[in-house]
Amino acid sequence: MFINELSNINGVSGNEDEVRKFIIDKLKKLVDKFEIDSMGNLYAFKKGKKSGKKIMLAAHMDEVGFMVTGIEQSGDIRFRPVGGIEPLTCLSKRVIIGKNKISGVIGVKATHLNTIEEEKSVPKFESLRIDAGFSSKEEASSKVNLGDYIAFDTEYYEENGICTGKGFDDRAGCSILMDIAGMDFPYDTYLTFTVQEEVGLRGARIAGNRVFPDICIVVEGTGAGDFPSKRDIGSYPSLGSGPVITLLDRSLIVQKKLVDFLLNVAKDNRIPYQFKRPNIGATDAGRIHISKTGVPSMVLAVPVRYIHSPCCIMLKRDYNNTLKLIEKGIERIEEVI
Amino acid sequence: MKEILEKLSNAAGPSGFEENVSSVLFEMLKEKVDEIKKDKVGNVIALKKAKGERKGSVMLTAHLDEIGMIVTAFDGSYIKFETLGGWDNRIFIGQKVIIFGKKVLKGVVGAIPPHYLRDKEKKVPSLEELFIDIGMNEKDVKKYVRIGDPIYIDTTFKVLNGDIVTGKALDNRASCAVICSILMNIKNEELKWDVYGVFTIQEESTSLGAYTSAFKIKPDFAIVLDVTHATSFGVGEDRAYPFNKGPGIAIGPNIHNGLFNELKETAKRNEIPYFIEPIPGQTGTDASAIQVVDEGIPTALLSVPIRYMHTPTEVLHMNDLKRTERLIISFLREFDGVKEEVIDVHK
Repeated sequence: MFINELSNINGVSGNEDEVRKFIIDKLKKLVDKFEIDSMGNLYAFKKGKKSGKKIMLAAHMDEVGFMVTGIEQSGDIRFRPVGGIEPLTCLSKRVIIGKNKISGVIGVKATHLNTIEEEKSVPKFESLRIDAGFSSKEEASSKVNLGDYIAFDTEYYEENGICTGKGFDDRAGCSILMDIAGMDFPYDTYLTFTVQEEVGLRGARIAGNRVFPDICIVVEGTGAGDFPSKRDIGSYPSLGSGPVITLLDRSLIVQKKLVDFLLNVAKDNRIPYQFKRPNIGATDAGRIHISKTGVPSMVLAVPVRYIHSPCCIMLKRDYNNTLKLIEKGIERIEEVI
Repeated sequence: MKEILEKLSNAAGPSGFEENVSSVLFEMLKEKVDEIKKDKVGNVIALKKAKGERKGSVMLTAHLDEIGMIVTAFDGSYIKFETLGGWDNRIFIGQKVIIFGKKVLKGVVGAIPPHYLRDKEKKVPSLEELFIDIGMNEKDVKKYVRIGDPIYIDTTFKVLNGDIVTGKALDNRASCAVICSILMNIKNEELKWDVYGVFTIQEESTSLGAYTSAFKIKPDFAIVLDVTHATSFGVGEDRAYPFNKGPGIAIGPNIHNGLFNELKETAKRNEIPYFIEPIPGQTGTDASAIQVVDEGIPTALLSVPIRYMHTPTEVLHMNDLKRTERLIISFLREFDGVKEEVIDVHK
């Protein structure tokens, strides 16, 4: 499991270089070939026992974050989100800016200085600034550039199988792909680490066309919905209930025979599973399944609470069960291709 | 001083639960002062005795508590909480927290994620709608956590740029760090004053620590150190003070005029930058309490400007702390005492 290191690396959409570098470094002894395309998608190729068919496993390397969009005379930094982030989750959080890894805070003025109305209103990104301790525009400009990417400053922590950290969507998926890189694949396999999922499933669109596999499994960290009972918003997926199987989301309807296949694999191996709440979210599978003449695709995910926030929670148990379901599924992938 | 501040900022001490930070202070100072004790309510009181001609005693005081939260209820495996001290409730979502339960537990403040909400429900959640998630199941949560356990935000001190630093509880560990540094630096000086360094509890609620410690010591005068607002984005000089202009010297009904004047003159004589902070009513600090202890104690207030007060990402400039220290040490060397005015009409 590489989630510790992967979570601590910053790789906001469009700036996945460090994640890619880490994955190449860890997998170079396990796979036969790496390819990197023009957008930055990474393909780790592994020769299978048989050829003639191709398997694609995909996880996205990018995470949500921000970008520097302006520097004030005062040295304060203007920024906008990259991917879906709610302004409320950003208030009074620490961030890391750019390649120089400059520390800053998204400051919120003292409660003593607020009116009651102010504290009841959701701020807009235009009204927030990052304070990195610069006293002037000149000083800030010497260390921070327009277009620098900004990530939440959150350190991974794990105790008793409870993992907390940033970016589990989708470093959990990246870590699972890395964990299975050592296995013997029945067919030629492309472990595909995509870019720019969070800004419109961009990388997957060209990755699907490039690999054009016979079957694809997208591996995700997906939002859990098991929140306190008083709000009637349903209670699934939930932490601890095993891998999350997608039936349909906003980007894809999974073929019934693929869902049945996953259920059989789970039951045969006594792996718990659950379903994703239908019609929520979209994944790279939404792009990959419409590649060229079509690619049968399924989505498996580790349930994660508080995705797209500075700190996610995930259980190692769910991670391991998801890993196991994918391994066992690949072993008998012939049933569906 | 940065190292002292780092240790103090990282220590936990929500109002009413200050043991952790008072132990850190105790360890830091015990070799550096003539006497040190923790009194029965929890204040830490350190003493550096006068040498030679003794004029009396002075109390330098800063509160050691910070704002925090407390466990109030459970909702399944989720923990509900109330605040200790004044917070802007908007900042809670997505904060990492530490709960002092049967063991130290790490968690996250959650709310229903916005993509589960209808647009009209996307508003600032009230405290009742927030919860803490420690990733455990209901049974384990109740094994380790009970109602009344204190909570604080899990963050660590960090240098942002040069002398500008960020951390939690800089209100008022900044002032605690100044007093620690003063006590360490005057260790071998011959001063005419017994100098009490007093680190008080529960300023953020009732000022219990200030009332009781001042009553016990009954100093000839007191200098309270606390924080004030610094200018930042959206907070102009009409209601805050810029960084790096020295300590604020407060003036107002809570403040002894003679002490105010002497502090100002001391700053001028020693060419220490300062600004004047007019506070027309209650200062909202321990100074308000100490002024009316026993038969009254002449009290002054010095403030260090900090940005984003009462958030986990407070920011300050170290120069303001260093100048506060210089001003107080100069004052201890040069000040001659407060004289009470007596008019004998029969003379």
